[in-house]
Amino acid sequence: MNTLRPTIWTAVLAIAFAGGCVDVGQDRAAFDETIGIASHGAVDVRVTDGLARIVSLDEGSLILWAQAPSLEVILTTEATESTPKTLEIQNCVADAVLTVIAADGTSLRLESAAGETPTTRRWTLPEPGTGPAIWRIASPRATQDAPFRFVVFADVQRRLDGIQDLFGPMAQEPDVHFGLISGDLTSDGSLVDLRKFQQAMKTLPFPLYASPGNHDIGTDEHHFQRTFGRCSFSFDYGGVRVTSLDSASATLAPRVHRRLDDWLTAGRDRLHVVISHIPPLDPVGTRNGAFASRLEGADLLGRLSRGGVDLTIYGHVHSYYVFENAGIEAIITGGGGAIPQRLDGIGRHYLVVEADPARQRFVAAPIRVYPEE
Amino acid sequence: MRTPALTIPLAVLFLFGVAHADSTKTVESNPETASVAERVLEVGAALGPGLLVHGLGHLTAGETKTGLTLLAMEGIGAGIAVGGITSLALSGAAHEWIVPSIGLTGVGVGLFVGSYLLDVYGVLSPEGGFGSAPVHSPWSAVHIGYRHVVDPVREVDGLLVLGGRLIVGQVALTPTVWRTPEGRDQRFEIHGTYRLAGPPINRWGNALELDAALVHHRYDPGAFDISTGELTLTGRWDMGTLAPSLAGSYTAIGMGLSGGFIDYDGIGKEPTSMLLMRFEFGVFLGHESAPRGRLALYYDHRHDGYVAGMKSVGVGSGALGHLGALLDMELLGPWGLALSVEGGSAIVSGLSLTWKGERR
Repeated sequence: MNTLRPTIWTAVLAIAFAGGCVDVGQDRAAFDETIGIASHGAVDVRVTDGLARIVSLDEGSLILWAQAPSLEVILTTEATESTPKTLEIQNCVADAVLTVIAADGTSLRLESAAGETPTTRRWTLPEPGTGPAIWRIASPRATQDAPFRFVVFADVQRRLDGIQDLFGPMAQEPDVHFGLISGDLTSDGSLVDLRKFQQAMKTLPFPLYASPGNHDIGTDEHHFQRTFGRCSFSFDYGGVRVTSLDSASATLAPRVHRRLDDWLTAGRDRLHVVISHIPPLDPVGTRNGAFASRLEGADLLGRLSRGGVDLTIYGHVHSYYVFENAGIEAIITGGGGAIPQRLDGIGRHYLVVEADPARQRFVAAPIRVYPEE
Repeated sequence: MRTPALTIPLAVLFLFGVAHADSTKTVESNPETASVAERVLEVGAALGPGLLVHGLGHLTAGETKTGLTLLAMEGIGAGIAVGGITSLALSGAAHEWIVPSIGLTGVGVGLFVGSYLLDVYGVLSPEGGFGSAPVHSPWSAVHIGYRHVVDPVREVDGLLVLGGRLIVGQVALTPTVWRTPEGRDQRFEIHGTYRLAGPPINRWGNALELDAALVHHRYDPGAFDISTGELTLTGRWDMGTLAPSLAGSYTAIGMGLSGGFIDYDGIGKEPTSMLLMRFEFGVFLGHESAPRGRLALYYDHRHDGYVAGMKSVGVGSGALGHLGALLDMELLGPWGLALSVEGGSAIVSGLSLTWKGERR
């Protein structure tokens, strides 16, 4: 019998470790906090709230990939010769203006030049002084309360090669200021596919802000972040707060839960839309295309409701549902091209949302896309 | 975070194996005592290549009929699971098809995994098993204990648990309450179980049972209640009736539905529903006198409660329920201890003091 002990103990330990992980997503949340921070020589760059990924930083230029329409970049340097001479922002709103605020308080407003794609903007920077400088990049419309539109979609997965079926009509939508994709850009989250999606995004006339789905983190949890930036983020635009939560592991990491408190406070007095790939609770409970824990899901929804959130939009379920969760209007829009839910009469689609801050309301409508298959 | 969730109960099973190390094995084709080398070969076949060919341990031991039965279970299980997954894919997880699709997938996986566990058990266990089922269940039982909760998201560290079981006529009533020490998080369940087929409810044996339950969970930090009603059909099989080598083990499959509402304070009520599914493999420990009891390993598809469903990185996020193990031992007269570990969104583990009444 003694000879059996190693084998039995191996089996015992194998089953024991199958207890699984309970803090999945926490690594991504921690990695989020490193995004938007870089140094080169005597130059330190920090993007406020990590709302852009630093693609490159050298003496010649600073290149950012934006995850929000308005950015603030804090540049600290002790040696002017090593500061970047040009700024390039990819995935940028077309009418973005750069305001440079020097350490002495003087400010300079600079118009942008077009880059290679509709959403790439460039600026030639003035000779900086030493000490910290603040660069603010924003559309003039970012501070207005006029109605505007944005698009939302999710679950492209296997139809990545057919993404232009979606982007074609989307690009024709009038008055769209930006888009949001709430996860499952790809089937398996490979770097090749994530970059392919990113290349396709560059054909759109407006920026697209992405958060990951469960399919996007399977290959390497951080490929998504190295391509697009933060998984969870929140920004203000035109009287609206937009919050995108990383629910790709059917939970929110504790760090994201903590950040959400600040975002709910910031959105308290304005229209607030929350985007998440996996719904906290599935309207079809027997399916549970939702958080792993009903208690966490209900707890989150209660917080969103008490935090004054006006609209929640999800993906993950490959269909279109309109329902209420904790009294908040909820939409599932998972029609980006993944295997569609049958018998629902919707097929491939994206969502156009009109935000009207003055009237404090969102109006959303699905736009069907052909070919469905 | 990884936790050695099942180490302690399985170690107990191992110790029972050591205690029975001198026992001989009844073999269909060769009733003579198997040598240590042969046992090692059988167990190695079951644990290693038996991962692919379930029943290989028994086939190696010359128990052809049982081995082929387990192989057939594996094949049928794999077929049903593939059918369920295909149904899920073809329907795109449409809500009209979701219950049969997930149900088939679950039953298929249950048969597939069960056939492997039974093969390993059959070649590991001594003649007559590590133990045998008590002929009668106690008419009444009470347990009280503590559960340690490792949940990085929710504000709960520990729970007090109080529960019992009382047989009234042909119905077994099983109330349980979980409560944090300060009372801000509490859950109450009461099950009424009626045996549709099999021996009377106080006797062990192959059985089919209908379970009706009411569940209420109050979570003060989140300011909501979840209240549901449940109906589950459960089949339980004494595996000793399948083959002598499987004596002392059992399997159970339960399927059901839950429906109710979530009541958010100051916001309102919203409907909720859940598919219930549970697969259990159990082993009795000890025969006539104490210490005796049982070790149960199970998968529970529940996504509510303190354990909820498993979190994962990747495609399966949110779909699965949780795993668990229960070691329930009678140690001194009616008194005993129950050790449990469950792993899902949280790891919930703990110990209960048990009292079991008269058996008749």
